[in-house]
Amino acid sequence: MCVLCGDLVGEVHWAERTLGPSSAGSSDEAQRRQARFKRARILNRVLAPYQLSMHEDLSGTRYVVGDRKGAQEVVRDLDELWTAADRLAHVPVDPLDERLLATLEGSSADR
Amino acid sequence: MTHRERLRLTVITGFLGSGKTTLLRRALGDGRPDVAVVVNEFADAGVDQELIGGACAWVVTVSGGCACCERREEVLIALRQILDAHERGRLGALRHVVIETSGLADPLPIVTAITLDPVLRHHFKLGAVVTVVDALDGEEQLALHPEARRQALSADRIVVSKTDLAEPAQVKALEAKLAGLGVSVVTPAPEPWADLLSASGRHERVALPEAGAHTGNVTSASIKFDQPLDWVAFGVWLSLLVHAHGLGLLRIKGVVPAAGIGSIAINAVQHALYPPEHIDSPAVPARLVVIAQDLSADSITRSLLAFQRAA
Repeated sequence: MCVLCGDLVGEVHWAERTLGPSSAGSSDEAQRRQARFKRARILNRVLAPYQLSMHEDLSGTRYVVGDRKGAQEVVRDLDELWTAADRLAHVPVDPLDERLLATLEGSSADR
Repeated sequence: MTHRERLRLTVITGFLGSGKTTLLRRALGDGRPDVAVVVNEFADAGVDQELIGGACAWVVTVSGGCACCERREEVLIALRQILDAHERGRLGALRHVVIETSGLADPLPIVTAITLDPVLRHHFKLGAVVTVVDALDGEEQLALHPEARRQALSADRIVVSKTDLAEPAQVKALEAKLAGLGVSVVTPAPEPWADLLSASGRHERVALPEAGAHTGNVTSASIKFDQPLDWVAFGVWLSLLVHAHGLGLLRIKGVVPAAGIGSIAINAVQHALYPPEHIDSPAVPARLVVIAQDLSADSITRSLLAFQRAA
């Protein structure tokens, strides 16, 4: 449990674990923050075709996913995020969805 | 608390009478005190415990049904018993646990249940699913019994048994049938037996199907990587793929090259994903094999690459 906010600290999701050696001059925490920032950017590209978006909460340990009408859910990790996204979008977020893939394949051209 | 290395888990499966116990006895050889065995018998009373008992640290029998369905919870209890005895120091130098399934069991739900168990997942790492296929009757069993096909498709490694009793043409026909399913064959020889339970070289021994192989509505893709992947984008993709299509993902296994990190071993069974591991061996080929049911292997490959572009 976090001694400051009383939040229960759960197991770190496999996709968020630090694997391999740290980069020179970069701490694990800095790497974790950079990875979370990049993850949020990718997640927003994936969620956009479903009219959803997400951001990190202030503590940097949770994600907030929401729709355009203001409905939001706070989740701990990617597994919870996908479940919440399915609920908020009223359709399953599908990584094989043609519309999503076409959007992502155009991502690099959008930058 | 003393840190212990996770126990390596090997699942030996194969259709009724294919030679699973014989294979296990050969693997155990004159005695392997570092191995414990869970034997699953479809019948109420089994004989395998007597055949194996003296050659390993401990045998637990789960009888009266298949480990993949009605006896799955009992298998988990057996593994917890072994783990408890190990933690108390009663099993000496235990390093491996082998589950020998019944002849009708589907190995994937067993692996999934262990992966999802809140305790066992931290104490076991999946070594390999080894499937024994009978050279005499295997071709017919694969044609007639979906259980036999599921066992073959689940395999990291196929061992063909009874080749000394079969005609060479029979063995070739069986190998062709297995190749059609998208799995490679290991021809029996004295060397692999002791090696089957080895803790090292797991990834080198993975039997990887080639791209495009299929049977019925099962497809496989072998995705090769000529440049490192963005690990964050890969994590987003794989977590969503497993979430959305876990039931259809019979297996995802292999090694991916992650930019700035190195080689990472991936091992997923349906909705369950073993925590990816960083591996040091540069000799391991970087490719990811996806075996899926009712899903397009080409779409999965395209999806992986599209998520990489979003990074």
